Amino acid sequence: MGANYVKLASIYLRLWKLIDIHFPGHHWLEMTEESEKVLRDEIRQTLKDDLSWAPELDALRQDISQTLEILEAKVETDWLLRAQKMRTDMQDKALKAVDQIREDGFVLHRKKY
Amino acid sequence: MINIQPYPGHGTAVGYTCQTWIAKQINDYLHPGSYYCWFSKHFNAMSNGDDSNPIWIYLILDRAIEQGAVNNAKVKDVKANLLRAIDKELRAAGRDTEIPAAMAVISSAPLQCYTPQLWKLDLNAISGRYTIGYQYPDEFNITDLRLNEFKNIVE
Repeated sequence: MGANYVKLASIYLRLWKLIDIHFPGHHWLEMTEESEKVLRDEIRQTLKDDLSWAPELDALRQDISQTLEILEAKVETDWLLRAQKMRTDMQDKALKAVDQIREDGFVLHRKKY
Repeated sequence: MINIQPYPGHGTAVGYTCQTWIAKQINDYLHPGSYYCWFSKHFNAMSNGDDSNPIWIYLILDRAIEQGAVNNAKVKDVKANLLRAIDKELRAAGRDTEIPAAMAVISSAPLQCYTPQLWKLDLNAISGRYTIGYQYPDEFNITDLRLNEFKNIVE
């Protein structure tokens, strides 16, 4: 099965947003209401789904697990630094996946995911 | 002899939000004529944190555009939020097939599209339809702002 960058982007956008919502003022740039509970549930479900379409499956599984773990560790003293890095990394991976959609020359009638 | 009138104080019937050129268009694409946004009752919402202050958001984005800073953190945040809204709302509306093309369009949009705008909201027109925020004292949310309820005063 070929890599599905739309699905990949969707997952990384959720991972990024799940961390982002713990940072002040995140909501001012949002265009839709976000719920931590809904995001967590969706991400936990993702771990149970078939992810064989993912280009780097192990890295994806690790990113999902680490995102969920970091949210459980919010009381630790270095949490802010670790969460900031994770937030940036997940955002970068989301943007990279979206760039891949564009680079694949995606248009509705030429290529379908 | 000139007679200086005392300053009457901030008006209470207006709100301010900073939105980008591209965000308005994505909003229109997702739900035409209905805008989701956070706003404050002061243009310089000093009782809020910087990330919840329209003047600060405007300054950061405007500077990034002027400097050609494609990797500016705030620009990337706007972009990621656009993509997240596309993914979430198109799926919820059963418009999944539109997601890839919409994401590709956002990915291709030049930096200029992130030019900030300042909207002035008519609070009388939206009375009863906005809610107070949860983090700072001068932040409010509206989910269905209409075109005739705000003016773009800085573009």
